Amino acid sequence: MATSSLRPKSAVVDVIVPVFGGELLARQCIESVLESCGETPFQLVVIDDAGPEPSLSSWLDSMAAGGRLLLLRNDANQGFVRSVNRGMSLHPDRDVVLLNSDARVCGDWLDRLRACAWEHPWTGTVTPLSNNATLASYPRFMTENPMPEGWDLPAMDALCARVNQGLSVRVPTAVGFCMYIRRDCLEATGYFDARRFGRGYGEENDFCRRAAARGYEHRLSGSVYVWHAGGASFGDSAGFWQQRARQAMLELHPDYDALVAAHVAEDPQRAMRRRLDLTRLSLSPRPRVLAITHRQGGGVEQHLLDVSRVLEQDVELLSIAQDGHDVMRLRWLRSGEEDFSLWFRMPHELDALLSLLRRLRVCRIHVHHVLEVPRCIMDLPESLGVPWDFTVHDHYPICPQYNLTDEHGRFCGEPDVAGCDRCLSVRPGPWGLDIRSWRGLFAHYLRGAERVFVPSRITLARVQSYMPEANYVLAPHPAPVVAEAGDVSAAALTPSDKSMSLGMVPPAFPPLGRPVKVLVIGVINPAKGLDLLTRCAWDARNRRLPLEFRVLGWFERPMLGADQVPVSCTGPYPREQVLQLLRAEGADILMYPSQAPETWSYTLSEGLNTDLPLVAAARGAMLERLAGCERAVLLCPDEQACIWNDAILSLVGDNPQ
Amino acid sequence: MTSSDQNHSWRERFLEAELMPPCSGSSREQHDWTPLEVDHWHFYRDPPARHLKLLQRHELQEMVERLGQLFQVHGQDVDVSVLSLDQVQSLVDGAADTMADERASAQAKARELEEMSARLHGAEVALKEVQAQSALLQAQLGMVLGSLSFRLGRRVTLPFRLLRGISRRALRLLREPALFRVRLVRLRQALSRQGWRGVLQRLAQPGDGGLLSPYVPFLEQDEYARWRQVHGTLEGTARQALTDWVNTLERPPLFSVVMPVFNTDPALLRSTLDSLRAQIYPHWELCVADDASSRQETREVLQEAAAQDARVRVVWRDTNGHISRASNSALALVRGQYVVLMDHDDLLSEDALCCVARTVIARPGLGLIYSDEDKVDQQGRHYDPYFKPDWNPDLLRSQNYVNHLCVYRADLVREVGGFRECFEGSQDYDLLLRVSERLTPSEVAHIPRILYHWRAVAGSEALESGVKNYARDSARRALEEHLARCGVAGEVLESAECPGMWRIRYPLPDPAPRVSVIIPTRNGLVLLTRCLETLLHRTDYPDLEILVVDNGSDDPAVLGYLAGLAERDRIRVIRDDRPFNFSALNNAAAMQATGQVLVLLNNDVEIIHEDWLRELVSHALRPEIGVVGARLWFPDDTLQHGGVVLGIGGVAGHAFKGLPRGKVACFGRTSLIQNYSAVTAACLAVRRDVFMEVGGLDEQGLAVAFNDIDFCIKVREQGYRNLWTPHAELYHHESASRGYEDTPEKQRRFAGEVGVMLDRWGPLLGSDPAYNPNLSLERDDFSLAWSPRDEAVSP
Repeated sequence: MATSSLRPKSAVVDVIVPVFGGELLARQCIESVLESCGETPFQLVVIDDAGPEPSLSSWLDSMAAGGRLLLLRNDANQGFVRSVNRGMSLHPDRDVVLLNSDARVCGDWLDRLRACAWEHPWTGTVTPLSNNATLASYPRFMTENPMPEGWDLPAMDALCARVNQGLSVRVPTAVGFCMYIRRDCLEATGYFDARRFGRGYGEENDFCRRAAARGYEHRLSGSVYVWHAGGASFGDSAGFWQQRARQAMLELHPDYDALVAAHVAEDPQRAMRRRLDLTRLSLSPRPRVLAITHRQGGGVEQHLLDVSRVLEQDVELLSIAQDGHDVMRLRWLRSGEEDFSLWFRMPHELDALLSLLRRLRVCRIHVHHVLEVPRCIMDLPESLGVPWDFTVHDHYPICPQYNLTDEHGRFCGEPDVAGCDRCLSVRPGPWGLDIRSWRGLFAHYLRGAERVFVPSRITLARVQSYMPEANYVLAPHPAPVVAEAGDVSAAALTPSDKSMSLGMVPPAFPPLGRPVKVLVIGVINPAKGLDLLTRCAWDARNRRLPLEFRVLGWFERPMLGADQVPVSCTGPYPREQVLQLLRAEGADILMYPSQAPETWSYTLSEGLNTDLPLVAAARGAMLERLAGCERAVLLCPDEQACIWNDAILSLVGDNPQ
Repeated sequence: MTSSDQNHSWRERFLEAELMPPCSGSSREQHDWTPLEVDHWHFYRDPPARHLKLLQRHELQEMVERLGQLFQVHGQDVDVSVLSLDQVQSLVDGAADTMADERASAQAKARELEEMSARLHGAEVALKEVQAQSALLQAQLGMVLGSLSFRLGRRVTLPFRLLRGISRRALRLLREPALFRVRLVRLRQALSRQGWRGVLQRLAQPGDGGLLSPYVPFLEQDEYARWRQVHGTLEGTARQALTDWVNTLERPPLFSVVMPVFNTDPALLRSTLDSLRAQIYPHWELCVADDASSRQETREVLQEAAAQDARVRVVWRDTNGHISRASNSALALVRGQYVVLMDHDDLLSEDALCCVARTVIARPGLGLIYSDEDKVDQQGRHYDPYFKPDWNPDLLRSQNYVNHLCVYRADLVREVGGFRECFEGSQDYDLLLRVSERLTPSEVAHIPRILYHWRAVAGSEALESGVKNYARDSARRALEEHLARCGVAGEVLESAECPGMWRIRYPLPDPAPRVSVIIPTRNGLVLLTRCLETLLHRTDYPDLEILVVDNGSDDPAVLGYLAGLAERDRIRVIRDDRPFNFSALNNAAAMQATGQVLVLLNNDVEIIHEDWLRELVSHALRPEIGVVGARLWFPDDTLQHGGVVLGIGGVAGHAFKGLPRGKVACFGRTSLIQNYSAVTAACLAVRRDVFMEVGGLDEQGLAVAFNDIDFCIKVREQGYRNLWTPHAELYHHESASRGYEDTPEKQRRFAGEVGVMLDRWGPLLGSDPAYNPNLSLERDDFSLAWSPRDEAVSP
């Protein structure tokens, strides 16, 4: 490429908008182009592809008559690609921008696109960011986004222009909703392939791969934001044309899918998105709260998600958690935002983290869990000089064995200090502390917290007995966010190696005409009652009881003789759909065999959302939360299995459905 | 408590605490935010370049340094820091140019790498095949040994490992002793030519020289480029040896290179002259005739060359007289004994004249010497090598295969009067035909080495034979006059399959002589009827006698059919119940034949065109021609017989077997009348007196196989030329009648017949004059040999 090719041949850019229908969007699109202000002279070329809406046509005519745009009209419907080709061939020396009629631009967008296109000698096309444009999407990558709350198009575009000034990344293909094509690339590559991609879909991908074969690169500019409605261009036949385009791409560019997949996995444009995220976050009028948590998922994560929704209008909630050996991951918990992640290596990037948190003006820290968290993160409140709260999610402040179970998964019964030290000598805690030092450490920590939230009275009592001096606040966890109605069958779960089928078929229960289905929710480990469940299953087998145990979840450890007892499990399930899944399972009774004292139990919350009878272990928060619940029976988890099974059968027998 | 109440209360409780808003009011509307930035690497969990910023800075520094270097290279002493913006811009633009260029070259490199890896992959696949084959052979050997020691009562304990070491070769020899003998003969040849080192080299080579020759699938692309690297270029020692040899010459022959020049691209002309100056053999003179070039640069190049080198002499023509006159002007300057014709933009290999000198010194009295050639494109890539046969007069009547490099004895050129006007475009062909008429085959030498590189320039003949249409007419006239001078009343037709090449149709006398078709047969009603019915009804020939030799048919249907045949007046059925001996059957029938021309025909052929017999007989009647073969197709329209090449696969193989019909290969050799050393007896024509002169087919040594090859070679040895014509076309349903060589008895017989052939014709089998030593004996598609059998270079 000669130097001369680093300058556009013509100063004028053709903005080509093929129009078919969708009057409102099309008018907005055309007006937005005409109103955009910039230094680049452009010619708006509208191609009316013999659309069905006469009012739109007449409006276009009036616009054309006013000389504000150049109107080309196809006598008969030519399809998107032929229209575009017609527009591109209009001025053979000008760069072109292809703009879908359901897009909207603003400001000096064209200047910025053009600058990006001519920045690198071998750039072929440039695509701007958008709310809805697969790999150019923002805030969430590869998703259709609404505009972020509080941000309209001009603001968003101005933000991009400011924050991502001059930033662009290479992409394997442009996105057709708005692409700037340099004329030299167009000349070298040829026009779109109207024969194969006549209806649109994939024509730009084919073009881009052909251009790439000729040495041109495609760029995603971070400094322009173009709104795109998307999706509704071709009505019902869209699926067919998409299928055809996919087939053609597969034949012409067999490596295309892999290229795009690799690009999506690498996601180099995340840097641009993060810069926008960070700036938007720093501009938010809401106070910032940082949660410190662990990465084990489970109830803590559920709680954080719930909290982020409950406090959606009140705070910007950030979370930080361990993510690998020495890396902390900072996230912004807000629905509609991407799983925004910044990684900080500890301890040598602590300063960078502190500086960022200060600039974000984090005003409060909420410690949810400190499992695996390094000391310097525990000390964040002090380092930042902000007040902090603590939520008790399990018994970690009391004991590093946060379930209060022994090595067999049985409730330890809270022995004396010597007993605890014995236990800890077998299973040492994180920093090698004895139980006294551990509790001393956490007593100090809790005392320092402005508030200590505890979800249940029984937990409050237990923690308070060890650490009386703290500002405890009893606050039941917010209710879980569950997806609204929608039919999901259990079979819809993708089978995984964790799912397990029924070991034996039990006899039918006469009142039901089939076995009683006992459902257990969650990941079953010894602390969660694996032992009790095993005993119950074997009892049912030995006594030929009409009982079938089903786990919505999986076994963390294999169950003894699982292939001989009436037990099965589903494998992993999406937490949002648990209600539908519970319904789809068609269970007769829910069972909570947990050995350890629960502090809250989200699975119980899920169970309480149904109207099924429950049988639960009389320990921890279960006692408190099921007190006075008529459909629940509480049993001692150390009780014999036959007692549990008989209780289940009698409970179901009393309320046959 | 409902869940929304629960949530509400939790929220209330949480918000009781003091939460500082970040700052009062939103400044978003004023658009004066400071972007909140963090270092890039925080965006990645495992950042690819954790120190990206550092890197960027480093790169920047490097760029500045490189800019500085660039300016130094360009002789500019520029301090980047004191430049104005525009200057920096222009410098950066320049740098961008360089980068673009570098990028292009990097892309080219990447492509090259890809190709290399593809080739590597091919080689790996081949290696795997060989390994698999070797494993199989070892397994077979194990079985053989097992049964052997069993039979010997386990008293023989063979050192198994030792045997396994040589198993690959030994087992092949056990199975195919004939092959072994072929190899031995070749090794003996190598021994006589190159000494023990040559033999060892050959054994070490995995190619056709070794005892075991794995089938290596050839990769079409760039195969020649790789071959050329190994065999086409001179190494330092070889070059030195040639130089030494030249220095020992007492009376070195002088070569006069004749070159007409007209407005040649000066760069090309310069490289042409350079290739001449680079000759190892220094005793040449260049006779240039500048045909009144209007291009000043061309003239300058010539003047310069003449001034630099006394061996270069130029005659400046006043008027443009086109190529023949210009060439004749150059011929007038000739002082040497030999005339070398060279075009103004082509190249000679550095050993070209040296090789020619060696040939003319070794064989005094030669009148015409020619070599193989290839083409070279503008990028200097060599491609399309034409490895030509030795003297092949009938091929010469089909195409100017001699072409370049072509060296004449000077007096011969003077005798025929040099080039003729009015034959422009084919003046060289015309000269060649006229000179060749004065030569016996022993006065023509072919150097099987690429000495001439034909440059493919747009407009030059190398690119497309259609570019110069007028050349065709002059070629036709040259051929017509050539035939007339030879006293042959032939008709010159353009070949339908190869435009720009020729088919000579020789006339039949009137009345046409009787032809006796001999068809040995046994059973196989379908084959026989198809053969005979097409012979009777799809053959346009007036005087036909058919001799069906029935070798013990016992199928009643066949017997009935034969009985019916005998009643027709043109057919005779000869019953011969001796054990199957193809040679004896044919010989016996030939004795009874009354025709002047015999046609041996297998019973499994099917005639396609009516004029097949006229074509065969017209050639067979030419006094200098011996055996005439036809073009046979498999029923699936791939080539079954396109001439026989001696030595392929051991004794002999069919050329271009499997070539799809309609496809032309090897510069038209698949579709042109030409001389081959042998043709198949599935369909051949020969005069009865020639047949009798050599004693017919060999009944004693070659009852079944190779009797046709042996017969053809015998005819050839008698001084006749054998010929293959593509214009007699038949289907051959091969091996449908005789079955395979599958029983041990048949295999023993086959091995015996291989032995006979080797004893009789051993040396000839590896050096078929209709073939080329640079072409493979492992394959029948004229692909390159990876160890050429002729060492024309080494002194």
